[in-house]
Formats: sequence, structure tokens, C-alpha cells
Amino acid sequence: MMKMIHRSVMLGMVLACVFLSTGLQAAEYAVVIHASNSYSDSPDTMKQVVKQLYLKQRSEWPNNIAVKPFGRPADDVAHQAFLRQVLQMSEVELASHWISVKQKTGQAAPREIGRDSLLLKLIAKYEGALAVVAMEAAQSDNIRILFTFDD
Amino acid sequence: MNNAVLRIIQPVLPRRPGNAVAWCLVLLICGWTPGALAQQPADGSTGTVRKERERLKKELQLERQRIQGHLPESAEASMPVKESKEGSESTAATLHEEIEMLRSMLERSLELFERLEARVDSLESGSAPQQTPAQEQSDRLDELEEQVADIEDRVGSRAIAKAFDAESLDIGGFLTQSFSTAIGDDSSEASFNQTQFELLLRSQINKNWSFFAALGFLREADLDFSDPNNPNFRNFANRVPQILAWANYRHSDAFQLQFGRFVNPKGIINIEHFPPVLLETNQPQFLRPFSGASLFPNFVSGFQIHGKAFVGSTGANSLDYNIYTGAFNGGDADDFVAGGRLAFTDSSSGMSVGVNYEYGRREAALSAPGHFSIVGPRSLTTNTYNVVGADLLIDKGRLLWKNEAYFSFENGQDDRVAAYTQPGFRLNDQWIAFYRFDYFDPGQGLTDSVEHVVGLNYLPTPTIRIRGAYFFKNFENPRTDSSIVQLSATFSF
Repeated sequence: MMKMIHRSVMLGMVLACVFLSTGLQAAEYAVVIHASNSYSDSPDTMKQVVKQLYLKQRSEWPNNIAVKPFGRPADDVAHQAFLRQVLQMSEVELASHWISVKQKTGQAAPREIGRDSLLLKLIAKYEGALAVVAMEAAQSDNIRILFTFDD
Repeated sequence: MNNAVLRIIQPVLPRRPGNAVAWCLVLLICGWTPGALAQQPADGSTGTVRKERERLKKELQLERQRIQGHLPESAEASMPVKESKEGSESTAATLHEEIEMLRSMLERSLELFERLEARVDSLESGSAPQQTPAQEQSDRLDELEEQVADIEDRVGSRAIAKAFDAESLDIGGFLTQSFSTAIGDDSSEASFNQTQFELLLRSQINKNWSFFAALGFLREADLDFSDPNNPNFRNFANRVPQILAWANYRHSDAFQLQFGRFVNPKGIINIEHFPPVLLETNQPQFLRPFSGASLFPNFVSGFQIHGKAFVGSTGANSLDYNIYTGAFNGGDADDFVAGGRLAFTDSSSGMSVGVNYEYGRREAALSAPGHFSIVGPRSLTTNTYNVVGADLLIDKGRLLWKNEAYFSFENGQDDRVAAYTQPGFRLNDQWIAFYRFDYFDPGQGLTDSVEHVVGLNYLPTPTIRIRGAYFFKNFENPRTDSSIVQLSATFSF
């Protein structure tokens, strides 16, 4: 009897863990590009290339398409996840980077687009476009998911 | 983490009758949750994920049917068997309680499965919850109105500036104000000696061509150390220099051409050049006076080939090169330079190593010592020279350490030597402390100078840099010291 009760209690804890696990599930984001951009590589390389393209250290994709990166507002959760997981920089480091780039080449940070719908339209418009969106928003025939990441 | 959860709960899981139920729950915990199922990477594994999802769904349905098949209609249905074996009413009551408890537990499990199934279904269909077309239209209209309001807020009825013939035009700049106190053995002076406003313009002419210019509007009272014991500020001078103006043709990242007036691509600080990114507005001695050529010209008018190659297994490291030629002062046909730079950056360690070379010819011209400088903007000798140098930058985490060293072989004249090391430490996102040891032998029969600088930068935001620095200078001939305290602030936009 006691053994049965013990197991019941533990099963209850397991069920609680199930709810906890689903409730705390990490959010997922996607780096999206134009559907016609066929660039692909190993996950680590793609992440590195996207970082360099976004920071304007590279001006073209490895398949020679001129890049057009789009950013998100600083308080956007997708942008913050992108900072942590792909750029691996703090907001201050990123701001310092753009000040340095501006002085050396006159280039500025990618234009910030707040709305997913507008962002997806712009991604679909430019062959070299690049942006990050929440996974559930990455639904369009004209875009391709380059890779996804959790935060 | 999920494997750890699995190890913890494995011993306590019931073996029957809900064995598969429990294992399904374990699988859910260990990353096979509906959310996780919907988050598999969009690469070649998508088919496998779908199969797993289908398999799990079928398993859940089978288990549900199995449980429902085994579940007694009521507690009484199972009691007579027990009673006949035990022959005791109290035992029957206990068993009754147990069965009721099990029944309740299984019912709760079934409810959970139903909820999970519903969630899997909604995630698979990608419509949780479904919006009506009217709601969707209304949401999109709200979104558009917000966008229009945002644009109106930024532009309103104002005219929009645009380039005559270019795809884009960006304008920015910065303002630096300095206050300096110079302390000599015999006398001291203080002044708000520099107000520097510089305008930066960039235009993308077309896909391959771009243009960049930096125009200075400077009001400066140069600090003169001709007599180290009696430093003094000269009268204010209004200067409007063309600091940079170049056009760039990009064939690829690896091959680009640049024409016009550009920063001499040497070392670290000369390339960084602008105050918004400098820990101290006064660059190392060999780069003073501004726009001079104490060791090599700060700027070159001519053209350069430059580019960058990405190397390493993931392309994270880079190799940069510059090859250039031009003139320091176009008024003298013999005032000619040519050189190059090669630099390797290792992104994982934050380390960059560069080697530099320049061949040039100096043309003697009279000039007074410049601002904060022991030499003037022009050489006192006419000769050819070969400069070689190396630089090392470590920019990782809190450490920001810059080092450069040069030796100039002066043909028929005194050789010139320069070196500095500048370790900086980021105390946090807003405060940076640094020290610089700076040695310069300018040749030309002039005295050597050693300068120690200790400073602190405060950045309330990344676009505002407020600095305080203390300079301690040792002069070789006459052997004497002097000090400068300088406060400056740079606001960039």
C-alpha cells in the first residue's frame, strides 16, 4: 500500500515536471534569407558568416550575393536572442562596434524593422536579405530558414 | 538536463499498468515535448522529426485505448474477487480505496494526454488558436496604422533629404571639446583649447561604388612645448581641413580599390583615428601633430588596393591587406610614399597582428611644433626613408591592449624610432581605465621624448565619451619634465 502511495506521489511529481518542462520551453528563432539564396554550409560556419554579414565585416554571401541585412529594435526579444546566441555580444559592445564602423567606412547598423510581416516582405524583396524572426513567424513561401537557434 | 531528470525519476516510475504511459511522460520531459517537436532545425532532419512525432502520437493513442480497456466500470466490479480471497471486509475497503485512487490517477493521466494531444495537433496545424479573417484583417490594419504613425512621428511635414545621384546618403559626425592644463617647471597654463566638429558623409553610389568624406571644422589653440619648462597655448586658429574624401570600388571583399585622401593604413590607432573610439584624443607622439608626418604621413592622397579574406575552418578569422601609393603633400612632387600592411585577426582570442612597411621621400619645409607635439607637421630634413613596423592588438573581454613599434631607416639622416604600449581595462560597460607608455625619437637632431599617460573613460551611452587623462612627459634635451591634465568629451551622432 505504502509503495503504491509512494509511486503515486512520484508520478504526480513527474506530471508536474511535464507541465514545468513545457512551460519553460526555450523560445526558438530563425535566421531567414531570400528563398532564392542557396547558400548553405555547416551550422558553425553559417552562424559565423551571418555574424560577419550582420556586422558588415563581409559585404557579400559566400556565393557572391551582395548582402542586405535587416535588424530589429534593441528591445525586440528576437534581436536580444540574436545578440546572445549568434553575435555573442552585449548591446553596448554592438553599439561600440557600429560607432567604430561609422568612423572607418561610414557604414551604419542595419535598418531596424519592428514588424515580422514587414520584415518578411523585405526579405522576400531582396536576394541578399538577412534577418532574424521568431520561429512561428517564419512562414512564407518567399523566404528560406538558414538556421534556427534557441534562447 | 533532460538526461539528468531521466536518471532521477527512473527508479520511482510505476511498472504496471501505466508503464508505457510513464515512459511517454519521461520522453516528453526529456525534450520530446510538443514544443520541442515543433522546434527541430529546418535542415535535413525535418523528416525524422515528423516520423517521431507520428510515432509518439500513435503510441499515445494506443496507450489511451489500452488504459480505457483495462479500466473497471466501477470499483465494485473488482471487489468480489478480492473479497473471496481475503475474506475480510476491512481488507476489501482498503482495496476499494486503492482502486479508487488508481482510477483517479489514471483519469488524470488521460486528461493530460488529451491536453497534450490537442497541443500537438494545434502546433502541427500551425493555428493555435485560429483567427477569423475579420480579426486578421483588423490586426493587419492596426499594424499598418502603427507603422504610418511611426513614420509620421519621424518625418512629419519635414522635407526628406536625398542624394542627387546615389542610392543612399548617410550623414553623421561628432563634436569634441577639450580642456587642458599644462604644468611646466617655470610656468603653467590652462585653456578650453580645442573644439572639434567633424562631419561624416557616406553615399552608396551604386552596387559597387561608394563615397566617404570627413570634413573638419576645428577651433584650436595648439599647446606648444618648444620650451618644456614654459608650455603655452597659441592663439586660437580656425581650421577647416578636408580630413578624408575617398571613393571605393568593391569588386569583392577580397579586392577593392580606393581613390582620394585616406587614412594611412598603418598600425592600430592611426586606422581607428577618430575621437569617438579613442581612449585619448591625443594620439601617440609619432602620430602628432594631426595631419603631420613625423614618422609616416597620417593621411595619403593617392590610391590603394585593399581587401579581406576569411580563413579558418568556419571562416571566423580574417586576413586584411592594403597596398597603397600617393603623396603626403601634393605641392612637392618628390613628397612620395608607397607601402603596405598585412594583418591577421584571430576572432577566438581577440588578437590581431599586423606588419607594416612604407617607402617614402621627405621634403624639408619650415614648420613650428604642432599641438601637443615635439615636432612640426613637416620634416626638417630632405631624404628618403624605409619604415618597418609591427602591431599587436588584444581585444577580448575586459582587456583592450594596443601595441605598436616602428623603426625608420632614414637615408643620410638620424633614424627615427617610435613605440608605445597601451593596456586598457574595461571596468564595466561604462568605465574604461588605461595606461600608455609612449617613446618617440623623431630624428632630425631633435630631442627624444617619453610620455606616460594614465586615463579614465566614462561612457554614459556608447555615443558619448567623457575622458580624464594625466600626461607626464620626460624630455631628453634639455632634460626636464612637464605634466598635462586634460579633460575632454566627445559626442557622436
